[in-house]
Amino acid sequence: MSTQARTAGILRGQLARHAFWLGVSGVAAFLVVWEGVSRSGWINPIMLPAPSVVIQSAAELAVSGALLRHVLESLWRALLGFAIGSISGLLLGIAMARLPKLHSFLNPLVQFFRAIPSLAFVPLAIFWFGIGETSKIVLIAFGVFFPVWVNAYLGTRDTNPLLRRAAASLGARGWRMLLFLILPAALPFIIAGVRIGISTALVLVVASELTGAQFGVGYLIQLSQQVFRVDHMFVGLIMLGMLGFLFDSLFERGLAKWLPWYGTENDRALQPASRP
Amino acid sequence: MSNPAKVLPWLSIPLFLAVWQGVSWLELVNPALFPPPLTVIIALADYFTHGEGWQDLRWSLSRVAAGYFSGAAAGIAIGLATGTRPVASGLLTPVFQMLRPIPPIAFVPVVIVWFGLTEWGKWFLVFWGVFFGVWLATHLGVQRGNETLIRAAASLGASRRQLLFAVQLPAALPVIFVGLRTAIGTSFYTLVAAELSGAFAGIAYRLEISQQNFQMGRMMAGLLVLGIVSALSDRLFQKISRHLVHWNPP
Repeated sequence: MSTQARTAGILRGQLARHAFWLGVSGVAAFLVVWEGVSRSGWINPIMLPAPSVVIQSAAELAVSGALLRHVLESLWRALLGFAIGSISGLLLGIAMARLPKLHSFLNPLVQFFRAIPSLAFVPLAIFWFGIGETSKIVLIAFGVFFPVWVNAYLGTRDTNPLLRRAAASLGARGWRMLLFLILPAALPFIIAGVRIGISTALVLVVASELTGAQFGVGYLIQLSQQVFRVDHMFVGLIMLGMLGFLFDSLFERGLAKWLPWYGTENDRALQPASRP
Repeated sequence: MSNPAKVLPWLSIPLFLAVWQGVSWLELVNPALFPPPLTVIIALADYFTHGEGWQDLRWSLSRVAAGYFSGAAAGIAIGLATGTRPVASGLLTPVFQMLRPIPPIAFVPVVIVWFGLTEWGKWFLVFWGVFFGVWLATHLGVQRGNETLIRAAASLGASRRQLLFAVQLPAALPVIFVGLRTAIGTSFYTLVAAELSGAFAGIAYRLEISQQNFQMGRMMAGLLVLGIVSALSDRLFQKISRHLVHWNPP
């Protein structure tokens, strides 16, 4: 290694370490200011509980087992709704891209429903499916469907025609073409859509639980509001933030492990069509 | 009827409405639960001629506008700062990345505790929903700027301010506009969250009230209005952005 390269390497390491400590001090400053404001007496500490109080309440909730139960219930709903919504979105997206007639027939209808914020369907879902599990899962599946659908459609439609013709001239047709050419080519878009779908599922699970449930993080927040435990509301918020972060990093690690080439050309899919 | 590709797009919505109307006439389902399109259209007309339609629309749009513009302005300003200054980025990025995954709807109960049912709470929610997306787009857009252009401008003696406003910002604008466009969708959905949880007027508020009064026709009309308004704002934004960032529209 030349001296120059070594110096550059050391510099880069120093920069990374520098950024890390800056980040730590940023988060620390945020927490200290929050703690300070809460304890200052300018505002009611019940309205804005300090981080130390929130951590204490989180520990209490965790020890009693309630926290785990809330999280597990939410996770289960989100996963089931996500599975239904993303699979149907994927299937319809691919089908519509492969069958132009189906696309021109269905597109206006799907686009129309996509324009309505899925949250606005909460009252309707309750009306049709009651306040039980069905309405929640239908709502989540409905919301997840659109981002997955639109990205699966775009990705499948925009596969490189050269590759398609090359495969066709080698005799690939039907499912072979789909499985070995179209799907791998559409994968960056599909992945981007699935990623938006994950965050949509987490948003909608909260929305559906706010309107009534037995357990769930959204329900925890709603219930705590009614009994004025703002500290418990913050515990719920932090759990949601952590879940979102956790899923996103899991997703990224899975990508790096199973699809290591993804990201080399993902600028194309950097800004997928989305709508929560 | 020469070309089926030209006819088909005009078929799906009428067919969907016709089937729906037919199902309702035949009373295959309870028409009170699934009001037919005609009922919905009558409810829609009634909503805007005799009802609170315009007033609701005005309230909802003013909330979206207040939250959207303040959130977008703050997002762009802070994104420019974190995008150009490594110290600002190092300090703020982890804090924002920590707060960003919390869905704005989960804030609704907290906002009610803090602000009550005032307008401040609604503005805050829309602001919260818009801010992070715009910030991230601006931050990434500035950071991905072409290093060569920056060096060229710097070697020609551009000051920091000139560099920012003449080179870095225009280069980042296409990415910023993508963020701004996504934020339009986000702002409408946070608005719905804010209004469903308690308001005195607004399109989504009327949805909730219609549900409680079992006025399914009016509820569907409300959904229709929401869809049209959010689709129209998206279209309008696209038009404006094609004009403004004509070299690379989102």
